[in-house]
Amino acid sequence: MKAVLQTGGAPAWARDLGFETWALAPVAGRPLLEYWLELCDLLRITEVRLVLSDGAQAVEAFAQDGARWGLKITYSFLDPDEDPDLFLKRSPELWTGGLFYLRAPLFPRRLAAEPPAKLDVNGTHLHREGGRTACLASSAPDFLKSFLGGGELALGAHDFAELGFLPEPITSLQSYFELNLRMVRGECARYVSPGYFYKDGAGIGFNVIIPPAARLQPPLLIGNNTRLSALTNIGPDVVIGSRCIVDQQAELARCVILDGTYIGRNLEIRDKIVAGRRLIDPADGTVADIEDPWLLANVTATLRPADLLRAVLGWSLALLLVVLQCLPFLLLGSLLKLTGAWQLVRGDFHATRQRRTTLLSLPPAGAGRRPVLARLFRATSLDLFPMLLRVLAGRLWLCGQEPLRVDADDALRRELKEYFPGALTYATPRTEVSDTLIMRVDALYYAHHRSLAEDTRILLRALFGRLAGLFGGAAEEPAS
Amino acid sequence: MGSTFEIKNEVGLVTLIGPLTAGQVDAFRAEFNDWQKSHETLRNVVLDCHGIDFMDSSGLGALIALLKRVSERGGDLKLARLPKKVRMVFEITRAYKIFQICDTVEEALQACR
Repeated sequence: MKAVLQTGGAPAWARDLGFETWALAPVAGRPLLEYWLELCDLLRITEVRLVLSDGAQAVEAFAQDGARWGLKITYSFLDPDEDPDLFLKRSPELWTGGLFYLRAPLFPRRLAAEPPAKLDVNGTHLHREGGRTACLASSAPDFLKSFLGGGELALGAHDFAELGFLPEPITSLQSYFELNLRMVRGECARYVSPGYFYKDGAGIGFNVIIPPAARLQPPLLIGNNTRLSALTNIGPDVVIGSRCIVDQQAELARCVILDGTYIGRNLEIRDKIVAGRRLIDPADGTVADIEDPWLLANVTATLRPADLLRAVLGWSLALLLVVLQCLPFLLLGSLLKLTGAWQLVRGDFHATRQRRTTLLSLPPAGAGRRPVLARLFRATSLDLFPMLLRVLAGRLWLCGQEPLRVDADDALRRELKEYFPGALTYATPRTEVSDTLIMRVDALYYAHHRSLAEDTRILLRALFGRLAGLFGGAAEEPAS
Repeated sequence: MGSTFEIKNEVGLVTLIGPLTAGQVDAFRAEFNDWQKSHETLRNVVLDCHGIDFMDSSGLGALIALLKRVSERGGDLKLARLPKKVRMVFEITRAYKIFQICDTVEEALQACR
């Protein structure tokens, strides 16, 4: 039997939590998808096909090859507008040996702590939502033939309860919240949670710092690498994700705190979901984004060691460039300013660590023919001098993504989980202004491929590409 | 941020419209102080918050400063018609414990008598 799990798409409740795909929304601190993969293992299914759509990269990064669950995971991509059933119907011969199919965002609720029963040979189990198949497990050839042929044959199908679990729909923030609370109140003991230590209703992950002055009132669940401060009061009915920080004297009860959230000092969180700086009332679905980072905030992801090396080398190189460019910039820049040949444009941009910075940049080249001096100014990258100063100030990386404008690019900024605004980017050698699509593609490409080698490539293309432009060289194409 | 000031049944009624954030609090505070100075006998104030579409901690700080100022005159400050998002900020910061929050302006005016 093979499993096909449709992971694409995010219903409104998952989007409100900040997820592009429902599969990675955490329940009791673990992504929903993990419960399904664990179930596949318990049902002795080893071959799993994950059908990706929105959020594909994150799903792939999470599940990888499936070795962690003893599974062999392969991937397919489906257009977000396509019907997930079409994927199965394209190659029905692949699934005739038995199919476990998940089509909708469901939670596999185990009815007891015992592992689910083995699937019957030639048996069929079916769960429908809104009149359509949402989950099925079948090795009955007739049923599969009919289903894959476009029919919806429910005759002879059994309920999943016979196997020991029930696919449970998550339809709203309220049902998501209640599911989490049910888990923390005891149901989580039915599932394998690696690393968690359960005792007296409290499940604590790896590397959790709990000072003696913190007060814990079970039931509660705390994820890995989370830090509680002194005089915090946690519980009852609290789920805290991984990489969270709860500051002094904060009180948490009946709430769900998602991964990477900072809870400010002296706050009181009750009957709420908190996802980074987003505060949600599950009772009516109200979502409030808190602007004050000392109240609620996203915990900034720890830099990878390679990023640290990039930062050190980038800063050193920026210092060298500033020293080399200082005198020519002052001379040529002053001359250009005096003659009024060219002026730098000022703008507010998103900088590193959720700060803002003002940058000076040259207007686009298409604005008209430039004087020779101005062309020389750009070709020798002297216009980048103010940005290099921002690198030295820690506001920008030397090489990275195109800095995003405050207001105009806020939507893209929210979309980017990893943001490395750089003085030199894929766009630096180009003469035209990047549109949002190109910026998005470049930013995502850089976030995924960033490395010293990629930075070197950007640096060389930026500096020499511009120099080549002075002598009539072709403008570079988008790097990605 | 806009605000209107009026007196109803010897109770000051301040209506706030727009965001109440760091950029607006100084102007609002100055406006309120001027208005309060021109009505020296006025003690109790009701803040109609229905029009506040966004508030940050500076806005909350401004309301606490207002409460202090009104209390120093022996009066009381009551909030009416808090929008849900603003109410959530009051809940997590425990500000709901220091303000009396009413569902309607009439209720707040009644409570001031």
